[in-house]
Amino acid sequence: MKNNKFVCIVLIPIFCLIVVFLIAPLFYGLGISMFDYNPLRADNPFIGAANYVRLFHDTLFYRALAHTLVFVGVTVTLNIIVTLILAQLISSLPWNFARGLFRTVLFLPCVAPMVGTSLVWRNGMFATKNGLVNHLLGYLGIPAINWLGDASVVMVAMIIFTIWADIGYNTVLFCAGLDGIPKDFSEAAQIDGAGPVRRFIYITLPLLGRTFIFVLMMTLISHFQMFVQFMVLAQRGAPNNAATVLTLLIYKEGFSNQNMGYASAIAVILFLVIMVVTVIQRRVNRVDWGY
Amino acid sequence: MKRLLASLLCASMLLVSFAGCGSKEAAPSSTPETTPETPASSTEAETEPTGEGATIELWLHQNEAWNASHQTIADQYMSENPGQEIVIKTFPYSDFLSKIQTSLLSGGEGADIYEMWGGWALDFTGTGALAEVPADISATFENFYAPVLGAYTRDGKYYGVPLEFNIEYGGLLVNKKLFGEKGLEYPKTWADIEKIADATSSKDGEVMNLRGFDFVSEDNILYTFLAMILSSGGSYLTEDGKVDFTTPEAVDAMTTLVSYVRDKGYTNLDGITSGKEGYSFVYTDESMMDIVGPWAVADGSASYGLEYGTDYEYIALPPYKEPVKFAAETGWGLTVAESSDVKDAAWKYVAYFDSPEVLVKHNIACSQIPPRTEIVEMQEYKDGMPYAQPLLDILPAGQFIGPFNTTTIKENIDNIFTELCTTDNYPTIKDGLVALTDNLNTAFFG
Repeated sequence: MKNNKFVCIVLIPIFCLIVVFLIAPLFYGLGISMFDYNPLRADNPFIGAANYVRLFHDTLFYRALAHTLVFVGVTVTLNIIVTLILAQLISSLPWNFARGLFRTVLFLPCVAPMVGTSLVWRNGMFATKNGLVNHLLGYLGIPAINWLGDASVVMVAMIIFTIWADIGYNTVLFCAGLDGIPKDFSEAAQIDGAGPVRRFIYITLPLLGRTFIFVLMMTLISHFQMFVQFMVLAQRGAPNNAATVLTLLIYKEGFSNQNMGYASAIAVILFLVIMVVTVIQRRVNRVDWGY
Repeated sequence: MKRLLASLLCASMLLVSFAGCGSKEAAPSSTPETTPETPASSTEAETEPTGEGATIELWLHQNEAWNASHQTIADQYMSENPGQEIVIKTFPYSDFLSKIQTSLLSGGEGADIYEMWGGWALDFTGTGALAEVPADISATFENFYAPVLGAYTRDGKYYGVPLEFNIEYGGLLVNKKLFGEKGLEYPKTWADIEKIADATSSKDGEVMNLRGFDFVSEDNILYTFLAMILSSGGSYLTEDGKVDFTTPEAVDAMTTLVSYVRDKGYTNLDGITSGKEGYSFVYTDESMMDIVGPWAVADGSASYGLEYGTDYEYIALPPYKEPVKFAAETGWGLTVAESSDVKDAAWKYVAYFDSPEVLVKHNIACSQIPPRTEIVEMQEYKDGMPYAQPLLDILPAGQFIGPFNTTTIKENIDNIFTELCTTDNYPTIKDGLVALTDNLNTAFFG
């Protein structure tokens, strides 16, 4: 009992921080989404659900929502597949040094600030003239592509960059998950004649369930919130708003157009989308066993 | 004992947690000198005004040349006015607007004088956060050009003192070396521009080898478009203050600009998609000429190691049609916070800064076009800014762009321009401009 009291008291500061900086802003944002709110104006009238009504008539909102869903769907799927394969390959290496080296190399892009890497990719990798990607395509006889200036390919560029920037984190998590699986199951299956692919699909993958759910959930949430590459790499959403996602639309409405009320309404919708997707994937991937 | 320790621990954690929420008084900060790359810096500690003396805090965005000029003028003022202390604080440009917003909205925290971009001032003039310019200063405004006052004016009252004429149209940055190599003379008419661009533009698939004529950048599509409309005798503003880009003059201007990219291939959209400013291609021998403001001239030597007069020059842009007319937004100026405790002293300093003898030095040091007519005529200015001459001649032809958020206008025009250049989303140019007009009027007027 005494111990519980102590724990409660110690938790008070962090609880206060969470309430002040995480929970209160959430409700504050919900509140101002019902105002014609411009922080620079003295008078900000209450307009009820008008921002939400406007939102459902805004074609740019629908486009941004579609771009967000496509981006998240593709990048999360590719990310999980690629990182899972990489983690399995790294874990199967017999030398500790090699495993550590590969994990470190793959994790490097996660350490670099995304604003910096976006600038490097914009001016070095994706440049139409003298860009490394077009240079490599040139060797294959493919003509140069205007990666960031052509509305039809800019989202592909965003996906390539995001995969590169984000695989290290999940690879390390999957490696940790794989290292935690007892070898006995795999060895037993091997004795029974199962090959490496069957062992991975029927033994490793199911036993990786808890790690998999955590990684999937965190990746989904973080990819819904991706912003920097759309702002910096795609130059504020690319031509024809081809790379305008919900986070960028929130920024543009809130900070370029000083329309905080409308931006908050979009943020509420993004919050709901993330919540619904997270709840669904938690239900689908529920794990109720351990080893 | 344990309980006491736990309580002390919690209390200290709470204090640390909320330390970041402290006010200015709770967390005084000062550093010995102003450095452009630091996140925020101050030159002096804050003190309350005493007797005849006053401490005036001035906030600027970080720019080495600009900050140095401000410091020189502040030092000069302090030596001429004992007891008056000017404290300069600088902030990175990217954070500057949010700093101003936060401090003005908090009412009482922050600076006494803010260096403010005209487009930002528009948002503050109706809030009561900015002090009205005293009559003795505003009396001098009859010598100022119209665009420089536009954003500082509301209901016949002024809320800021302009420091510069922000002009993006009227000058042409030319690659002298390329003109020499190709044996071409600088254009004297708009037809010359097209002739040179026809002869020199070169493209290889998506790769633009040489831009014959460029105007594509975040600012310049807008300003070139507006100047073409106005010079053709048209207007983009209706009598009730809304925008209208569906006039025959606007359709003609946009058709011309789109054809330069889509049909004639004078340039492409790199100026708004690659992260490089359009004028930078002049400096890298990838463009013959580019419409740009005079601020880009210094970059040739500072960033590219080129020599003005040998590698590149800044000449008058031949008129699209005559008489030349153009639109400009209000540039940088000085504003005083209504909540300032030392308002009178602050305005006294602004008046000093705004005097032609002082402002001319600032304009030269910052490569700015002056906001007032006396400075334009001063020999000191002409000697200090020789490449500004083509622009000085057309300053009286400028008009204020209108009381709009220009970021919104630029973004919408750039988007429609891009769509018209790269897609068939709109059957005609006019359809695109109808959408542009609707989008802007919805954004500004609901």
